Amino acid sequence: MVIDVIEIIKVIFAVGILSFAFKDNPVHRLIESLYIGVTAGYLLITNFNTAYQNAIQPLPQNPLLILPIILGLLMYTRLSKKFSYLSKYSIAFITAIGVGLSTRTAIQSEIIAPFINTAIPLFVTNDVLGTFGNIIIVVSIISTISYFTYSFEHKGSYKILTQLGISLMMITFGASAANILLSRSARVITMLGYIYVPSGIYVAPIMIVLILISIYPEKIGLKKN
Amino acid sequence: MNLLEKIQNIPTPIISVVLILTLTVPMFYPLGLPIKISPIVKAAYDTIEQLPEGSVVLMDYGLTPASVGETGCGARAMVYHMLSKGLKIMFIGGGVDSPQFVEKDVPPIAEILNKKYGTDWVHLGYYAGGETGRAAILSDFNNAYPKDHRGNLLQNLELMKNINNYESIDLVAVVTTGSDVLPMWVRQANTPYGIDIVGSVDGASFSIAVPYFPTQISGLLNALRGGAEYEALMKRPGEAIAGMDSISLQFLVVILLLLITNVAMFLDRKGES
Repeated sequence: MVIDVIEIIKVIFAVGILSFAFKDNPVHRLIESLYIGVTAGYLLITNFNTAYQNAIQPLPQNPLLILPIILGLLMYTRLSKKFSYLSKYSIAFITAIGVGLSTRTAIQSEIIAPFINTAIPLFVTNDVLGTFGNIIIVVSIISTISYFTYSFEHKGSYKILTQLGISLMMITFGASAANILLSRSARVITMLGYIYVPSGIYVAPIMIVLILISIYPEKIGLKKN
Repeated sequence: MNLLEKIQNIPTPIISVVLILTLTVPMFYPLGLPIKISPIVKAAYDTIEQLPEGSVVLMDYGLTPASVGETGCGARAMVYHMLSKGLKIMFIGGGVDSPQFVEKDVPPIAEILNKKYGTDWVHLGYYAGGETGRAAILSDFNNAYPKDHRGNLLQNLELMKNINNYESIDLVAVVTTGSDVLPMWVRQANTPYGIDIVGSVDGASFSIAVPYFPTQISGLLNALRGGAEYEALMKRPGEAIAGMDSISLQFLVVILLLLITNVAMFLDRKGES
């Protein structure tokens, strides 16, 4: 029988992570710390490799690349109190490029296009559901915008409209939360898939026992009550 | 503590164990519940289906270890669909761990469909810089990626010989769990260049991305459910359809728990009054 080490590690990690649903325990904390540590290390190496491949390696052919390299290095001056002001030049440069690139199309994509999307006919012939949906969209937009309009005091008939707006927002948030709950279950299914493997039959029970011992050490006399 | 109070205070660990068990049962005994296809997923499928053979797709394969359960099935189904249609795919990844998922998911699909690396698909790897990075990729591939993820020079890859910038791209496919990623692609690919976009996003990002449909995004897969619908459209049942059975059963248990605890609360209050 061939022992699949990767499979066993997956079982150990999956059981350890899922054990948090039962109760916080040292095994879960250890695995969580390992995950964060590995991710941080991997992030550092991957970003360094990207910088090396895109800027340092082609530097002899393109001397202008020295500019982004200098800007990147200046970011590390934040580690020194004396020179930390130099990092602001890099941040200013990155922010300016980011803002410039996103705002060039932001008005079209974030304001005009969504506005066009909501300019729909209220009544759709031979489609009751479509008509109902379009009416809901239009009413929701008007009432929600009314709620966030502070030029008028929310009272009288206007208050009814704003109250409708907040109610519709609550329904939207509720539907969104339910959708998140539904999709997050898929993550648990993946974790369970790591456990339900041949070696999981042996490794998972051992892990569960270890986790229970770490949660209740006093039950087996490892710790006095 | 009487029975009604006990029902209202079921310990969290017990609920967790019950929910995990309900997810487990359909994994071994599939229920085969029907999947209803939503128009937004059908639109994504049709967008890919209507592309002529040889069209070039830029796929931002932003899977992460945490999100693979949600968006992974939909992503793999889309990749299978595209490659089986004879589309050419350029994979990139906005997450540092995304390249690992491309290398894990795509070669087995390419092998089944007899598609060659460099000719039918290429993996350009991780890109840094968020929105700025996306803009740089679309404006000049060769500048943004001197080499692919496997260390080959782009000019040595047959697929990349005639691809320089956004003009060669027919579709952008986005797999992501970041709620800001799809809007970034809309701002950088759809609005300035009119490139169609389809996506597979997690549940948290779906409500943010869905207002872009249908004018700015051509179709969207909502997490595992979207993946299941896509698999049903392809008539190729896989992990997503199997997973939906588990989720449906779990939701049934959640609704039952909500009903039981609420009924217990009302009965308890009535008894007190």
